Amino acid sequence: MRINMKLKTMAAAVALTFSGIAAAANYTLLTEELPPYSMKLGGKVTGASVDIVSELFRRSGLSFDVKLQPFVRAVDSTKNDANTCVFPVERNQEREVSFKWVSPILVTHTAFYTMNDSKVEIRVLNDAKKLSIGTYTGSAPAEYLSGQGFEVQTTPKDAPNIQKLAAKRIDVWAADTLTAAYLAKEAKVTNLKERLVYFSALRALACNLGTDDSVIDKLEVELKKMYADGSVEKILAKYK
Amino acid sequence: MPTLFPCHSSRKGLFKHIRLAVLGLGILASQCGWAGEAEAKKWIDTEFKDSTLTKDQQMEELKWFIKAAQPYKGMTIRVVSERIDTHWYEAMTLTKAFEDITGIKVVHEITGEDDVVKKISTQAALDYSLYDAFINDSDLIGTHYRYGKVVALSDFMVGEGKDVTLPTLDLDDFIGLSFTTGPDGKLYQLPDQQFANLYWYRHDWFSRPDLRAKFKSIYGYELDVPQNWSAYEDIAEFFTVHVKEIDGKRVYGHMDYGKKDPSLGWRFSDAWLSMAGAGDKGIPNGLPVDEWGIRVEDCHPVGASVTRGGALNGPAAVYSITKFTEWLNKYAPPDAKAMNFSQAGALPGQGNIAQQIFWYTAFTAALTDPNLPVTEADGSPKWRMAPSPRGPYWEEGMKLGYQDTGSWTFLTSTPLERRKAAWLYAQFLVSKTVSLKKTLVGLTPIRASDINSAKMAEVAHKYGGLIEFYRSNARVAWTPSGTNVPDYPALADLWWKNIALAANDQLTPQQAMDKMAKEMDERMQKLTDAGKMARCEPKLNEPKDAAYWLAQPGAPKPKLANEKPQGVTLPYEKSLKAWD
Repeated sequence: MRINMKLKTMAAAVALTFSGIAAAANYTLLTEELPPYSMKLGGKVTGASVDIVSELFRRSGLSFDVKLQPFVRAVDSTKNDANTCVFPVERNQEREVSFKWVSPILVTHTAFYTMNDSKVEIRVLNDAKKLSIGTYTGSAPAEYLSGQGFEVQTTPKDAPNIQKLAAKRIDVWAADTLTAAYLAKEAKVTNLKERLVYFSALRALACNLGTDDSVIDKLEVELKKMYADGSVEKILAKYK
Repeated sequence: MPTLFPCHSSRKGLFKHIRLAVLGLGILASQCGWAGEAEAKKWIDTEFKDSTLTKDQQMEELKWFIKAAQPYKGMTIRVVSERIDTHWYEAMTLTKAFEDITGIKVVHEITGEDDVVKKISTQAALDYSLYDAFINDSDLIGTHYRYGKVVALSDFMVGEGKDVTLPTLDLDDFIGLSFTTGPDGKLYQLPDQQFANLYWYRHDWFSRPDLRAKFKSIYGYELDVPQNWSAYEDIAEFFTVHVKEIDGKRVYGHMDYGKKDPSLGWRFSDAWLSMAGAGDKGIPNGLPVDEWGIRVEDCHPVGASVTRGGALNGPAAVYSITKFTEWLNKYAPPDAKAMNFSQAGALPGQGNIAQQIFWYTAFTAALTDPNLPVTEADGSPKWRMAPSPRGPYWEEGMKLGYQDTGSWTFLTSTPLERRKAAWLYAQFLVSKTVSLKKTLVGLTPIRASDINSAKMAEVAHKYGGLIEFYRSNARVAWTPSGTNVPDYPALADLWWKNIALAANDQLTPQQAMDKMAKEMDERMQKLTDAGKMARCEPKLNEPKDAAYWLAQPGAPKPKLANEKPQGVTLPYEKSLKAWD
């Protein structure tokens, strides 16, 4: 009996400890405003990547809040603050060492767009090198193209590039395929033509280095399940 | 998906198309074969003038492509590869040729090798379709073989892919098939490009009578191509400590990098331990212990720690890390320690590095820029490359360096029709019609016929020993990671995370390698526990006293009483022939 009591006490203490950890660890999930991946609608942060990551944390039994923050600040906050993650982030060699990773929460595609009546020919990436390319500051297309020695004209936001394209101030617009479809719909532009989907990227959730490995493992297992049962595709379909 | 009409891609073809259009679509479709031939001829006459085939043979080969591709015309396929000159040429030029000739459009994406590995791993793990084929380094052969998610090309070529397998592929002509073959003898990947990691040095400085005399007076032997690490170390010291300046410029006898960054891992996983002599004899990777220090028994990895029969923390491995840190601290430029692979790669071209023990030949074209201080005005190099020197644990019959073999890799989850169309593109890129020209552009040879061609002999002098290396028997001793490594993506980060601790003096080389060997074993056990491997999963040996394993023949080898034997050098020409 005495042994039995001791076991019961230990079990209670263990349960208390775990519930204590769970209660303490509320994760702050940071993302920049990037419709339709992340945006504020009716006071609520929503979007394709927000929905995927939120579902992932819910399934993993982790408490969380999603906040919008400019990307550079979000990356810095995640480096410095415990229980903080940023998404969606391109996982590359430079960033690898600074975070713990859960990947891919998204696979994104970037493409060149022109108006329907444009005569430019783009069969391969380099065909666009001689053209005037518009994209937005700090975007994945801007980063990739600059890295390959392309000159790009950037705007602080992506939406004006549709107008620039229509006004022939740029020859092509380099944009994320989901973003382009969303912005074209918003701007009620129907004569946009996708010319070449030239790059695909894996986007990850990057967490503070102090994040427990067991949390990362749990998130990875649940993410695999979300791909296997079609949840990721289902969420993305809502925004296509 | 854009609609394709390859007949349109030349004015003549377009004219023909319009004329035939009035006769009806049925005729038009059949006449597209003719247009493909016209396009093929155009490409043969312009881009593919350098080939080991005659023009007629080229045309016959391309006619086969036109016919085999008929069912896939109009399809767009996606492939991905790393960012080197060869793949840029493929992505920007050869995709157009292939589309013109076959009507199959290819989007050939270019990215970093780490991203290629992440993408193929993701697609294999999630069965989520991203690409129809990958050009993936053959270092993953052990991974691909074990998980059963990669198509065995040996089976595919005689089975469901028989009708799309090029009769003139001539597999015997490929120089790297042993790197892409699994323990079951089946071919899992097809080499697309290869480059090696060799010794690089300033031939002009080594030829100067004053420097030669000074070196001999200090070290007692000739300043020539080092054959062992002792000579490399002496030469490093000579330039950094004794010569110090050449033509008023500070010079260094060694270049390397040490920043905590994933690229630091390549410096070691790419065969560094084998150069010291840590593994066992046997080509391509050493058996039963390979250059990662992993022991395999009956295809099952049984341990990396010495106590389990591995060699990752054995005396030879620890010696190799000790020399890496010592040379980096004593002989490299002071800022080298804070550099990564890309930053360090640029330095030899700037003209103050005398030699580098670990130099990728993929940099060859970049270092022949006539504007660089390491080239003459006509672009001929002041530098040379030669087979790398060996450490004191190295023995005859062992591998001696690294070779990167970017290879076509197909996942079983890719729908058959898409896989077949991608296989056609893969074969086009390595076909004899194309491969010599591709080799001249990217300097990453895959075929013996190209290496031994008259054209290669004509241009060999421009490339500082590259062609000579590939013509010698040495090329079989420079090999990629092999089949002992059970899951390359799951294990590779251990290299940079642990070596960085030694490079930055946080742990001694012995402590860092002990930690790494322990973690490697734990990860291998985790892989087995996950139960995802179809075959040859790790089965760790029970630990025994290290002395037991060190007393057995081969790796792990006991510590040598003298790790610095007499330095040995050879004149350049003799060093190239040392392997023949």
